[in-house]
Amino acid sequence: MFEVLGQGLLANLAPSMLLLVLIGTLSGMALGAMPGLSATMGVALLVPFTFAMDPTSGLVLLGAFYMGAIYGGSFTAILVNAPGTPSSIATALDGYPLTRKGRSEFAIVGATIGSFVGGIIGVIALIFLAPPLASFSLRFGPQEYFWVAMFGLTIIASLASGSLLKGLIGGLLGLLLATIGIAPVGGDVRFTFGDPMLQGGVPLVPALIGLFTIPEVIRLIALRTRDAQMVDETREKDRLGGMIRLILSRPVNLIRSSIIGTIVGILPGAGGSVANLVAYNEAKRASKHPETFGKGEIDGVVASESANNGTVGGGFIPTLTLGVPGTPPDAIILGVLLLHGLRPGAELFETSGPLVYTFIIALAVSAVMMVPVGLIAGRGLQRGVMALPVRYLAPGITVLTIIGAYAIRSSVVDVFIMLALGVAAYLLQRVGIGGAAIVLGLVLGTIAETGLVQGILTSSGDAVPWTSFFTRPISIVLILMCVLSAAWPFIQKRRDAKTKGTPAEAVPTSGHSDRAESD
Amino acid sequence: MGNIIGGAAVLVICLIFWVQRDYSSEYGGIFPDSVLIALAALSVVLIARGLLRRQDTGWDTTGRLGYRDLGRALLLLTAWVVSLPILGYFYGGILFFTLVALLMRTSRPTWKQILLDLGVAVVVVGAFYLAFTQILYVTLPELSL
Repeated sequence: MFEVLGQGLLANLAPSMLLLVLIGTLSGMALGAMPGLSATMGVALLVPFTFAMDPTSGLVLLGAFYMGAIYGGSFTAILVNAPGTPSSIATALDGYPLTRKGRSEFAIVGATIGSFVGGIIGVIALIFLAPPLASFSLRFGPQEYFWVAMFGLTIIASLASGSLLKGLIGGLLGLLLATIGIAPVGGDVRFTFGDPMLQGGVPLVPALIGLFTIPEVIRLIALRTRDAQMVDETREKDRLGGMIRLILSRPVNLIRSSIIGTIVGILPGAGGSVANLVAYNEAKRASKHPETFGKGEIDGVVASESANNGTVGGGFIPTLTLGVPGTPPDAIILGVLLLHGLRPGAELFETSGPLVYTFIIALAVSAVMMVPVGLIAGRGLQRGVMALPVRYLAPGITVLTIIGAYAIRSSVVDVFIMLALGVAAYLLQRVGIGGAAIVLGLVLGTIAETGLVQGILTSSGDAVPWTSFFTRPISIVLILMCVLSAAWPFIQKRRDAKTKGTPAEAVPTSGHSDRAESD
Repeated sequence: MGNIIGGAAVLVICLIFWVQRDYSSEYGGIFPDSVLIALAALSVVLIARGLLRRQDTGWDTTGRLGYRDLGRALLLLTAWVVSLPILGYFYGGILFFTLVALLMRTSRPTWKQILLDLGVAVVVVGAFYLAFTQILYVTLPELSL
């Protein structure tokens, strides 16, 4: 293995290959930064350009593009509260509050370092752990996917630290939105209100843009100015070296989030959109100061970005070893492999070792290139956005959001959905129901329903089909994780109260911090 | 009052979805019905909380906007989106970009400022329009008057 690994490394050091990785990473970052253009769409758009290339160059370009696109989604999430891809949902939760505090540069640096570490750890897992991890992922059945979704939903308990009740209502609203359209199992057409466009369901990206960005645009237009705290000119400027040192001084968060991303990436169908939320939740739970999350905590940005770039390497584990794509862009790259007559499996590593390892090393090179390129481009973009007068920033964001919502299905209806959800999100925020919980429900709804119904169907021969959700070993582990995750904010609160010597409340009382979820 | 209004609004949403229920397969309704019932139950709890705990207003007061400013923002955004199928992305974008930029000025704009805002609108909207239609081959809504 080490011999072909060395060959892959040497191949990547060729100037033409480095240039290809640079082009892929840069164009991926540019595309990922545009709300509405997901990494999946970008990789699909790029495929025809690779037809004329040899298989190695084509795969290297696609891999670098994918890595860059996942990272690029963090820019708009941090700067204008518009996650460029669903993988950056959690990045916006703390990245945008950092921008509002005048610390967007710090958030960009955090996202860059997180993406770099996540990308590298994912690639290391891909090189050394591919076969055993891939076979383990096949043990996950519908019941386990249902519990994975439930585990994701327990994040609401962590997100809605102000009012758990309102957080749960937000999450359930998201789940309800996820049921619109054709059912994932059975094919029932539900809650379309007679509009055929809704048969495809509520599209995730327009919903994301609506729930996160439109309330901010409304505020900008109404206030005619940025928040007073958004640009703090009195504060001394952070030095790049200091920012990097501060982020690297918390290696546990970086490594834990990258591992979470890698593991979630291995599970087919989950991907970066789930990984970033799970890692964010774990970062908050492990933090000594969880109350700062949602209000501009750099660990939140780092966790989310480490995890989503960790899914890149993780997702290729089942793709290359079993032919089961871990994430949607992996499915496209799998198609390119098949197109070139390369069949995934253990044989692929033996018969086409140099190609496979050149591709894997190119992913790592792309992660390394993201650091200088991202720091220059990201900080440049950040300074540009900060310097832009607010009367141009607000309509500029609107122009981008309209494209983002429209481009997915070339449908004006999606733009209407974006606006309707945005206005609803603004009004719901007024009564303390934050957009983050709604997004969480929307992202996990289909996974939960598919797991639930398929789980019942596959165990329909049992006397009580429901029991299969509680008897499988991996399910039991996941149930325990769900219970722990849901109970953790209460345990932590009691522990804090004990430390301070004041009585704790059994349930967090209603407060006004929910807005911080999406700010 | 915020809790009562919020809870009532969510209950209305539940009711709208409930009357739309029409399942053809055995398991088509298992998930949405569970969600609807749980959501309705939690909304009732929220309303009850609003009624019982009067001291907790339930409103999120951070970043509260005046009705007039909020109305202006909503009107502009709605008009922009609704006009999209008629004016298209390019012309509608330039018109509403300019309008928003002008209305966000705090003093009465001069002709020079109007031309500046119009110029910025043409450059920004035009750049996005060309990038998407000519480079990324994403079709955008066109003028259909």
